[in-house]
Amino acid sequence: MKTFEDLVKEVQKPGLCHRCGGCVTFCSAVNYGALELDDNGRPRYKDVTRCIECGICHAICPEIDDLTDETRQNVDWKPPIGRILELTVARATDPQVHRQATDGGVVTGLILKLFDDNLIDGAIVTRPTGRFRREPHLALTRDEIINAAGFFFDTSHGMKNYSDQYLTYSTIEAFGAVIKKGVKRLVFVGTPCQIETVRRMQALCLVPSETIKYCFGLFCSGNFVFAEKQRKQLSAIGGFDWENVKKINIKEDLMIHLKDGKNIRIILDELEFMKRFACYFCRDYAAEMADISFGGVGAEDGWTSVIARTTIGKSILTDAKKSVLEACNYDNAASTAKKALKLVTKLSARKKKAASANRKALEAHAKNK
Amino acid sequence: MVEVGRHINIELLTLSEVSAVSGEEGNFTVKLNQHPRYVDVDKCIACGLCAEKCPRKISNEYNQGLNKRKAIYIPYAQAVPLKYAIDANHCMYLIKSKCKACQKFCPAEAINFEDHLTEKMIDVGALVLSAGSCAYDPAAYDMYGFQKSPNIVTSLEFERILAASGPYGGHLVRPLDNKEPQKIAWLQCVGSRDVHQNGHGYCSSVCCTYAIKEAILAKEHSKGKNLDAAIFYIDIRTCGKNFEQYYNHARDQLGVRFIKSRIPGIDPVNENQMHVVRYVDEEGRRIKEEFDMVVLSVGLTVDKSVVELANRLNIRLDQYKYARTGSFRPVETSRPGVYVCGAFAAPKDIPASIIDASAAAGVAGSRLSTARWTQTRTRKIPLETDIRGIPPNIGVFICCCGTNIAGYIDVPALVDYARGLPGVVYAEENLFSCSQDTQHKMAQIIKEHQLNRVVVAACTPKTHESLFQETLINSGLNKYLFEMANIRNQCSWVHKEDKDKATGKAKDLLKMAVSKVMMHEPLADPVLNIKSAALVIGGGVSGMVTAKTLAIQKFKTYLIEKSDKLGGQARLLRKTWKNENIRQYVSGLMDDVNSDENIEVVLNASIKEVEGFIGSFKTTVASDHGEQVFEHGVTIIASGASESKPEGYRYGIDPRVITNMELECRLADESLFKSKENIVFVQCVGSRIPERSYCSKVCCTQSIKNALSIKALNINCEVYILYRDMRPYGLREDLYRGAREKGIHFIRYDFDQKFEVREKNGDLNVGFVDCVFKRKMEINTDLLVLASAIVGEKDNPLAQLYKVPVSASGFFEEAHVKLRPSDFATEGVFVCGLAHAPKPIDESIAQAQAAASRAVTVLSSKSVSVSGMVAYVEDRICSACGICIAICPYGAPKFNDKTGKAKIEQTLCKGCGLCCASCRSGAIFLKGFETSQILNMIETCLVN
Repeated sequence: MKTFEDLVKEVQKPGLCHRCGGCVTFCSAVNYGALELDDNGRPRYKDVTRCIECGICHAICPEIDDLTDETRQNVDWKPPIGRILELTVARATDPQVHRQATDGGVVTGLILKLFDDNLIDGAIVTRPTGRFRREPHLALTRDEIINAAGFFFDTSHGMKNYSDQYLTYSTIEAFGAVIKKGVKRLVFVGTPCQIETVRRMQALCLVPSETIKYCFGLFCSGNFVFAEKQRKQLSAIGGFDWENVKKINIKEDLMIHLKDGKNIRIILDELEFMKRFACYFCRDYAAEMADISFGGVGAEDGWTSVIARTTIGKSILTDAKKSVLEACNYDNAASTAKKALKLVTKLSARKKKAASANRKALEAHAKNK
Repeated sequence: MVEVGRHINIELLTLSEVSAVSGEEGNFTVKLNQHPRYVDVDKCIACGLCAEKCPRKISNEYNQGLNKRKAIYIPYAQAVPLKYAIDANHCMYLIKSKCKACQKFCPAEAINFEDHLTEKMIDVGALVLSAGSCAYDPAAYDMYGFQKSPNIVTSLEFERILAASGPYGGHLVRPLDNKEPQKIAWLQCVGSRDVHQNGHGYCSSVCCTYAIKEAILAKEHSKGKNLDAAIFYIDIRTCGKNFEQYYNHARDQLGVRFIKSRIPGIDPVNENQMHVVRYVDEEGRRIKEEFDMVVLSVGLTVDKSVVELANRLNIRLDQYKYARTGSFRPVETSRPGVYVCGAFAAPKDIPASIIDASAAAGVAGSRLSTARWTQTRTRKIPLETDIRGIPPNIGVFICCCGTNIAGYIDVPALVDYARGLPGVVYAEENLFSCSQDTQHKMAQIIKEHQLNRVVVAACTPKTHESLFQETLINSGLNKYLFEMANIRNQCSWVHKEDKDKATGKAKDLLKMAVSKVMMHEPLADPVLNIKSAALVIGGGVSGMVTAKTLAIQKFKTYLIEKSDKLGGQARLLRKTWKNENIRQYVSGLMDDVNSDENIEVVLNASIKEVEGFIGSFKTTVASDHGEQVFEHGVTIIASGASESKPEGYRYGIDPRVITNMELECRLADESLFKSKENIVFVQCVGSRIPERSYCSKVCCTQSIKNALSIKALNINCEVYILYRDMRPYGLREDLYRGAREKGIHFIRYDFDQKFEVREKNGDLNVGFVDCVFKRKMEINTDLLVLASAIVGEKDNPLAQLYKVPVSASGFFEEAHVKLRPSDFATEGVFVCGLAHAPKPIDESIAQAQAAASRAVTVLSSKSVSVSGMVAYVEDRICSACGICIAICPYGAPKFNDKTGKAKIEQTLCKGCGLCCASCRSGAIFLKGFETSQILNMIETCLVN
């Protein structure tokens, strides 16, 4: 049977590990306790004697093809970018949520509605813990949910504490807390690769994935590292000072909103130096396995594009549209949705193409070695 | 379950299916397919580590999908045998070759992935099919919304929601959002009485009563007990013994609402997260009512796998796939030697299933009686440890009984308290002390801690004392070194309002039990010889069937009949509802009985005196042959009941007013009906009234049957059946449908309004208020047939003679209405037929066979042991006053000829204590309740 060693050989060494944390989470949740994440979020052996060689960490890794067909069948995946029941452009009606959000605050708005209706006990999200850093977090109260929204900008201490939601960390780590606190119904917010792992765990009916009732996926161009070095380089490219930054957003491009009202756009191709290696090989832009996918792409500022992919997702969305969300009512809402879909499809295709090419290069490179 | 699980002569073959049966009655070869468990039952200690480590969580079918279990599992904590099993459909190793976590963690090395399907052949003399039923799946009907809303549940799901071991721990909440419901609706007849494509035409017969039970329990579980429970029905069919009283209590005292309206569908959840039920009330108003939850009272069906089994066994099934049985052979299938009992024969409730079970075992056993004792084993009982001279080491086991006790008493505090009591060296709490795993644990703990006294604080000794005593015996302790503190019936059940006070009382009860058990001494059970003959009282169908069943097994049977003829009520009946010939059957039965050399029939008999006890009764019977004294080991009461003579309705005044039985006799003469234009039946005459609150069960079916006979004789005759609820339960529902199709009019009359029978211009005029139009209606009828109540004999002398209880309505009170329907609390006496409760002929025959079967458990042994808790006399103190002899209801004390002092016959003594209390000299003591023990209890109780 395959073990973590195989994962290291097949996934980590070639650099394909997304750091989604699924392998570690499962091993800890079921209390075998053989794996852990290092400081950079990379999985490694914690205690190799506790590994029982069950082969499950290997099966649920999104980079391993074992369960792809099954998981796709479970969510009724359709080419080119997954199943789409509905695409809407919307935003939260609650001004508090809206203020804190990156785009329309739809994710937070939906989580709050599910929580208030007592359909969930909590949400697995990320929360800010420092400059450019977020950590995975199990939010169990209304305040914690709101707190997890958007990014932060602290004026009195400079740009101490704003982060980019694309600086993703393994929210799957928060699973550990799930088991301990005995919560039974959760919504999971994550990037496409994290959603993929959750779906694989669900395909195998693994503990603790049965507690995930809803998967909310975020559109993802890749994980960008905003460390000291990268920030310096970025400010050089864009010609701005971090002190003047009000808000950062990534849609089709990286958008930097300055305090004085100016907006600086940097195309993503120029950010390759900041992107995590594994993200070069990722084919999933629009979170194709989620119940609902969200992103700023295709919507105007302050609004979110929302794709409902499963019947559960659609029913939540329909419910929410009556109360906590307002759909955009541009003069031609239908064509706006159509345009947004076209854009999302285009960006997905671009990502898939790049991933394909990168993989071929990687394989060729490995062969020549 | 535990008793079956550990019985030395019962071999449990789990995960097994019968694949083929060859041979014939008395000599079958059965081929079994044994599916792999993947767990070695000899090694598994049920520690649960495998389930803890199993990574795969799937839907738990036991909790109806409301929560999850692992791929390796036991279905519930009280499972017998308590061994884990791997679900091959979900195990990751068996499907995907991954994992094997269970094997790696199992401390007993019990996991065996090499396990596979095996075949086993066994030789048997008879087969009994107790394959049961399964619940109807309402997903077939879209408009109930069952699959769309989690708050619409089946009755089985609701049972699990209410259960302490269920997904919510006994907390009544609705599945969608865990909110406590305020209003719940029950919809009756889901999948039953339904001839549409997805339903079944029969009545499932249990749902009305179970819905009332669920409603009552739901109310109890709710805050302030003011949950609104509404039951929507077509007819309420609470025909079983005591069920009608239960219905009345729910409606009148507890406020459960009953609304006669068949609900076709449920609206999906509205903005208030409630379901709207639309109905028309009795006044004809259309009402929309919101409910938190809707419970679908689903009926019973036969599972597909059971149908396949029946086909493999060559058993004939009816159109609903139930095993076909005849009314005169209710537990026999179409294949000789293969018997059926319980819900696979027809939808039925627990008491009827248990009667069937005893009957099937009894009939099968009777046909194999020549081989009795040839294949059985006897258990080697471990030697009793000698505890004399050793100070008491008391172990205390405190039961939570799910939430029955733990919900109202602070059990952990009780455990701590127990630990502080003198003599107690061990105390623990159990979720269910009576379960098999606790018995194992108890036996181990007794050995480990060298306990020599045990106290179980739980329910009444009547339920499980013998179970715990067996555990003591298996651990080498004398079974009398045991005491139970009843903290359920005498505490948690009656003091639900004040947890602190209830816990305080439980502490007192526990402390008294401990102080008593400390002084318990080992006692020996005296052994009786059994006289292997039986006395059957009553020569009707029940009595004759019992006698015949016993006689086949060569037990001498005395059949005592009050009148000058055998046959009882059946002489007045012609056909069953399935159109079988009763006359023919009864005369055949009478011939068999009269010609059987093992049966002695005594007619015109009356019982003068009864002496003795189980194993050696002496009954003095007076008849045409003078007085005879019969010696017998068991007594079966089959004294029957009769149709009451109605009061009012112009019965006895107008010759056109007759009862159903009188009609049965007249139906033999066809000409009587050719000229009739109108015939009216009135149901519930004398039943379901304040003076007689039970239902007579058979009358609705009987009226329909007779009405159909009339129609067959004269299609143009208008027949009306005026009813309160139509109760052709079970498979009889088809008869009702057929009657409506033939044009028989069924009109529901308002019981609270005056029902008049008058003579109007020479016509017999029936006046009533109907329930639909709410108008007074009158019918001029040629014949008025009253479905009169079945009544037992008032002040039945048998009760006094055999020391068995009888109710005010003249029906005998069995040991336990649900679990021991043919036994009495008095040992050695059994009951069957109408003497027990109103029932049709097939159920009487089944119960007669059941009573015979119960009797044989006594008759087949050479001896039986009786309780060692008996009274004894201290000769030196006895003043020979004779009070004990006068006061004993069992005739146990007698004067000893040699010493002149009183002596108690141990085998007769029931341990009631009357003599001990009455003895003026204080010379009589009761083993197990010694003066020192009782005084110790009192002292301990009074000391603060």
